[in-house]
Amino acid sequence: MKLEGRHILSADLCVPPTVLGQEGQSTLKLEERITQMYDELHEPVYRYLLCRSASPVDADDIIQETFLRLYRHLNAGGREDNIRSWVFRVAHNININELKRRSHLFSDAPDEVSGLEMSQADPTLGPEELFLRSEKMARIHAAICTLSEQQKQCLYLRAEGFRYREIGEILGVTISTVAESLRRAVKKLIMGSHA
Amino acid sequence: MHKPSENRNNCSAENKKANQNPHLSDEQLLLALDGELSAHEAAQVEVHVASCWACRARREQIEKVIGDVVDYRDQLIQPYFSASTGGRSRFVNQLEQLAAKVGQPPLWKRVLRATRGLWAFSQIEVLRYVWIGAPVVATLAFFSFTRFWHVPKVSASELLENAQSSEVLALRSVTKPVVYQKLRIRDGNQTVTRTIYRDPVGVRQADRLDLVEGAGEKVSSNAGIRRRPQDQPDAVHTADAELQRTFFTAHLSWQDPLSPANYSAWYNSLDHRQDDVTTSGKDFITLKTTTSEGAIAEASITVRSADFHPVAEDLRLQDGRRVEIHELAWDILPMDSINVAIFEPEPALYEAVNKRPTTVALQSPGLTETELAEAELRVLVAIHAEKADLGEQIELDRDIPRSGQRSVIVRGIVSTPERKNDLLAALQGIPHVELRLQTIEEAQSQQNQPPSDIRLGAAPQAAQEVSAQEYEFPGESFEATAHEPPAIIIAGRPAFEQQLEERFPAAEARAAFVNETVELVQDAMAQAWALRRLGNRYTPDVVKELSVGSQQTLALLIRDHVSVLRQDVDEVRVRVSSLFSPEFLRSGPPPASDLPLSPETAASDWRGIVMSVFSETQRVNDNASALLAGTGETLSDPQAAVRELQLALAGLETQLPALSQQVGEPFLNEPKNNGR
Repeated sequence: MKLEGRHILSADLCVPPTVLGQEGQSTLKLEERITQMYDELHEPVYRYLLCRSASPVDADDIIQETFLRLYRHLNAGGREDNIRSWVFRVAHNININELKRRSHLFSDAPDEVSGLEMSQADPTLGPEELFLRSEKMARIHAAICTLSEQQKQCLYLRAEGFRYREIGEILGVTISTVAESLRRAVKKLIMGSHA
Repeated sequence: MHKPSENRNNCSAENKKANQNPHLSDEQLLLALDGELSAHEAAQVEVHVASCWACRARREQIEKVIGDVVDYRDQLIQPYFSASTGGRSRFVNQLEQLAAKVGQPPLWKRVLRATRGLWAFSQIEVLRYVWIGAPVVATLAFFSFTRFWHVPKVSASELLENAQSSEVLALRSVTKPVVYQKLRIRDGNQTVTRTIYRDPVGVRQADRLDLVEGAGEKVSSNAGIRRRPQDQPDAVHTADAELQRTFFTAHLSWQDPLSPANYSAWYNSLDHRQDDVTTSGKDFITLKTTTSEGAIAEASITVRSADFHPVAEDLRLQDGRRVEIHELAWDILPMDSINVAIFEPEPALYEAVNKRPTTVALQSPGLTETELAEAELRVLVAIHAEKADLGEQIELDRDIPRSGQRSVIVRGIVSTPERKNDLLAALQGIPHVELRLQTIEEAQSQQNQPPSDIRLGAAPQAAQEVSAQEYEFPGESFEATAHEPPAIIIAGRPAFEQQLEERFPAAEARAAFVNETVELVQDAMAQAWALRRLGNRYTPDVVKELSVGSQQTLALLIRDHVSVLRQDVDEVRVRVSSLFSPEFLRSGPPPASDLPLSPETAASDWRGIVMSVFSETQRVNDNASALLAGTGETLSDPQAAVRELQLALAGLETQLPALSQQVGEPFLNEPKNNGR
């Protein structure tokens, strides 16, 4: 798995530099550029969508729809000064609409997590370490379940390397709300870790 | 949107705590860890953490939680990554089909895209040597000649942020600062020098204008620092008035012509703009902004690269006029070092101006309701960013102040000089606004003076108005005082005392639980009050006065309050539910007749929902306080209080998402019920 999403992009320009670099600004066709952006952003968007209750199949569909919309957007002469935020914003909105439309196919219910945790256990860990790790994951999971939707969204977007300003743009809230949501989320998680 | 570094002050209650608490808040620690503080603030946090074990331990706790979240996320999704491998080829097929269907974009769009791409490419700090090997060599040669690389490359927004921070930091370097500034202002063929002494704490300013002709020859001036137009020679007065009119046309502040905050406010108000950041040698950086919106076609601000202090501004108006402002001298002086008599208030400015037989309509109250409404909204946003709309004694008026034009007057009393400075910095640069903020100490000292000595008459008035009536529907006063949620009064036994003792045997843990829950409820009340004030203020008629951009800003403001209120309510629900026992819940779910009406039927527009939200939040406040903290009389029927609380929480659970959704749409333009 790659590192956090932030490393992909240059400081303030959120178009993947590799895409820009390889493209040479005009030599690549738009389809090729979109495909490159898809390759670079697929993993972080997929990760975010899975965390936001999308099933793997839905997440793939949402990402495809997002990048097809991106093609139409750029083909129509749309702005490309923050593609990464744009992609996350559109994927986030499609996912929200999908979740409204049908019931969740993928849930972060405790049972699933504990099963997941056991299946993914590091084979180098001993039984005691496995047990402690499993306990820890269950505790974090229980604490994350107490967060509001917005707090979770802010948390996972921050984990993808977005700045508060970008998170605000993606979720349609102000920076102060992002800061407040993260503060509360972290406070709850600290309390949860002591429970 | 607002910088988090501007929002580091938490709600008013926490501000008060922060003033007494030597430790850093969780928010400060988190902002520092996330790199969201300015360099200066981050350095302050580092210095504190280096010396304070308690804060260092809390920071490590936060870091650990961040690590846990990332670990958890990775564990959660890892098994599902293999499931996504088939998606790429399907996507490529779909993309090719779409491309064949849509076809190539027209030539002009391709040119536009290429131009944007080039612009974007030019912003990348990591140069791609493969592409621009030769230019890099040439550029390096140029650098070696000019020592150009010493100048930090910044974006437009960074430059403006740094310039504003520079100003605030400079003011903090002196206890009672007075800004001395000498400017040369050229408007067409007319050139003046303007000397300003500004007291940012007392919100006072003294000016002198000298008319200059030819090569700096002074042709006319007022003899000393004067504030009264009647003391100015006619030529100077005419120049003064014409310049003020030019600034007014461009929606700029004449009070502080070279303000980066002012430039930033204009810059942020633009939907479409083009930026160009250039350096002049190693000493100066210039931001040039071009736009087709508003009165200004092109503006540039030049700052010193060493400290981002602004030294020049150049404005080209849409009508072809050009205004150039150059700083000739600037300093921050201690108040003690100047003659404070220069700040003597002018008597009866309007009368004096009206007596003048001048043809210049300096004091023409040319501001429209729309301009005032826009200014007022900007003030509300700034106050909101500072979290000063949650119970602090700040009020807004539309009035004719000393400047002679109708303005939005922000008056109020704040707890400390630091808080006052923060608010002044946040509000600085908003056009058509007069600031009359005082600390409690200042207000008290003025009240103790004989009436004839009171100079800023508004502030004591503000103090007396603390108990004023709530502002109701459009008028000339927007009351934001007297709405601080009432402090919890411990007067009876909490109805949940037994449950609390069972859940938290230790008195300390019990008290912490109650205090935190009560704080959440109080914060919810503060948010509900803020929403109610917005609902009262922004009737459909007032909303119509706003531009589309401002309507969106208002929607964002409302959504912000709703968002925090939802978080508060969620947390209160979780906390209180953990105390419910079957005995308390025996009464079962509330009858259908008691359930809150759906938002569609209960409220026909967002203001109606706001009123419902307010009353439900009040019910939560009353009942939660009675159950947990024993406010008022001892409850005769705790079960009824629990039921009331459940009903109110259920009502909010329905109403808040509905309100959030409604303000997410173009609700402001098309209210469903104008008669409300």
